[in-house]
Amino acid sequence: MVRDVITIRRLQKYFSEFHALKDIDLSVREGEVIAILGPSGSGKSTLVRCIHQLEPIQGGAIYLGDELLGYERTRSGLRNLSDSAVARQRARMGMVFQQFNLFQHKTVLENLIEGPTQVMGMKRHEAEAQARDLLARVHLSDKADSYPRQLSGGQQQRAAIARAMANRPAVMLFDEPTSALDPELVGEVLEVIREIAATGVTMLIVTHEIRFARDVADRIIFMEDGRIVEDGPTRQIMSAPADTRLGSFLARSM
Amino acid sequence: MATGIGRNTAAVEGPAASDDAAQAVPRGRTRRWILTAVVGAFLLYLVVAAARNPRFEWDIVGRYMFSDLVLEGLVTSLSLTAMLLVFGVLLGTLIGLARASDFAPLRGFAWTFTWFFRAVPPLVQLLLWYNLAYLIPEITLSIPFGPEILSVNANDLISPFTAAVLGLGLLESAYMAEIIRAGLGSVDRGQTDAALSVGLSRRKTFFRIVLPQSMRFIIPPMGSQAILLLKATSLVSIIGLSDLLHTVQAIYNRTLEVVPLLMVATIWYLILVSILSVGQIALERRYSRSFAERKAAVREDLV
Ligand SMILES: Nc1ncnc2c1ncn2[C@@H]1O[C@H](COP(=O)(O)OP(=O)(O)O)[C@@H](O)[C@H]1O
Ligand SMILES: [Mg+2]
Repeated sequence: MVRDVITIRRLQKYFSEFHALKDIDLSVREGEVIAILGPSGSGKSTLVRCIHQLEPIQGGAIYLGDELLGYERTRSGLRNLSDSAVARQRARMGMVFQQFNLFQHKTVLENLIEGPTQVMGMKRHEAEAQARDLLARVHLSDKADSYPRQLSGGQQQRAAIARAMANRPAVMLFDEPTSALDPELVGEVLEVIREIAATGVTMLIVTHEIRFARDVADRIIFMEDGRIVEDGPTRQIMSAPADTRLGSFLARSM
Repeated sequence: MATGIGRNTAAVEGPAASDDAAQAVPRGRTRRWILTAVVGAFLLYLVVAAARNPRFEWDIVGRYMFSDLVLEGLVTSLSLTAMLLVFGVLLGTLIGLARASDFAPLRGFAWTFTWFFRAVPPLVQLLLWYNLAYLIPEITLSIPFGPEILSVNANDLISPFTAAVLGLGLLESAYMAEIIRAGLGSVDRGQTDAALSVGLSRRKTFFRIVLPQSMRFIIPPMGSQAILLLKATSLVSIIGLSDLLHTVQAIYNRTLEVVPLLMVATIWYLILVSILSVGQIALERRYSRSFAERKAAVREDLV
């Protein structure tokens, strides 16, 4: 039986008065690769940041597997989890940011062992061995001892992808992983994501690369104005008639 | 049509084999030499005039420069500076963190603290703490409407030294707090996101990721703060603490050799501040280089 890795029910997100996510319902099955498309400002980043608990939510619920994220049930209702409990939940997801956000004062290898040694309780030499395996997977074996500044954007992002996998997460979240890159560096990063997707890792990818989404995603979600307005298998979404909003978005983005 | 060609300039048209920027004569070189000579001559005149003016009484300056009393005063000034620096960094860190906190009352308290201690001039603060004994004769710790727990005479508690530490230390912490807050704020928000993302707790995020990266924004201004502080310690002479300035004052009140003794203090402050400034420049150089280059350089040194 295929399990749901992430379940979202009637999620509401506000930035003070502004209703940024409205009634989001979503289930992500194990091994599924989902691309999230939509115009800028439609709430894509906010959605993945809420899943990763980098933003508090104001309504609804998010589950990782069977576990409610961010709250515990008490007799008097839900109560916020402690910081360390939230941190443990975050460690079970990997996130890749648009701006890479590698720790600037640490080498690539140190970036990769931070989570395993500080959070997962792994021994340093084990963590380093695992980090070297991961670096090989993103084709950066020779950069283990480099500092982020010494790397190109594409190399930084590949290192960040490796770091996000270091805790062996149940799901990988990508927020526009190639939007900050020079055009000639986009390909190498997409290629790495494609390779990882092929190994059966569950992924949620916010992207503007429509062709990449079509190739790699099993399912596509289209967001507009804080809502999920389309959600379906890639082939079905991609064949949207040009006179629909989705169709015209796709036509514009190609 | 020839435009913009100066008086002594031959019009040049088209490329010529002899054109070579390496052979160009820099402009304004003579002017600089003249200016250097004038300034140099003036400085020389000042030094010679001071050296030959009998009223400076350089032999007396020489006699007191390394006298025990003066050296003691010097040590007092230096240890007071060091103490204030430690006090300022410790309290300043707490206040700086409170300023960056997301808990409003804490933020408000820290804001008020920095506002108050930065607004009141240091000399006023020193006098205020020193004279606290007159304002509040007894410092009493008691349960409201209940029995007294502890009562100290403020005159015993507020010695010139404590007054100095409070009067300059609180001010110093207020400045340090601002430096620390600004330093923490200079670290990209994405670093915090990434740290939380790999599962670090808020505490580890702060100590392992944000704080180390803020150091390069914090250390250089702390260096300049130390220099300002050393100079500010001369203010404590007003409340009778035997620092460098107060010591030379005490001596010239007795011997009436006012100018030579003030020269002793001046020369010592010049020496100390110059040493600190060299350290400060080194710090700035070191921290303006990126972490990456610095650590890489260290690594190469080790090989
Ligand atoms: N921290 C924030 N504070 C206030 N408004 C925000 C914040 N982050 C995002 N928003 C708003 O929420 C909406 C969705 O933003 P975002 O999720 O970044 O969109 P997308 O990633 O699809 O471009 C936008 O209108 C944006 O202005
Ligand atoms: Mg976005």
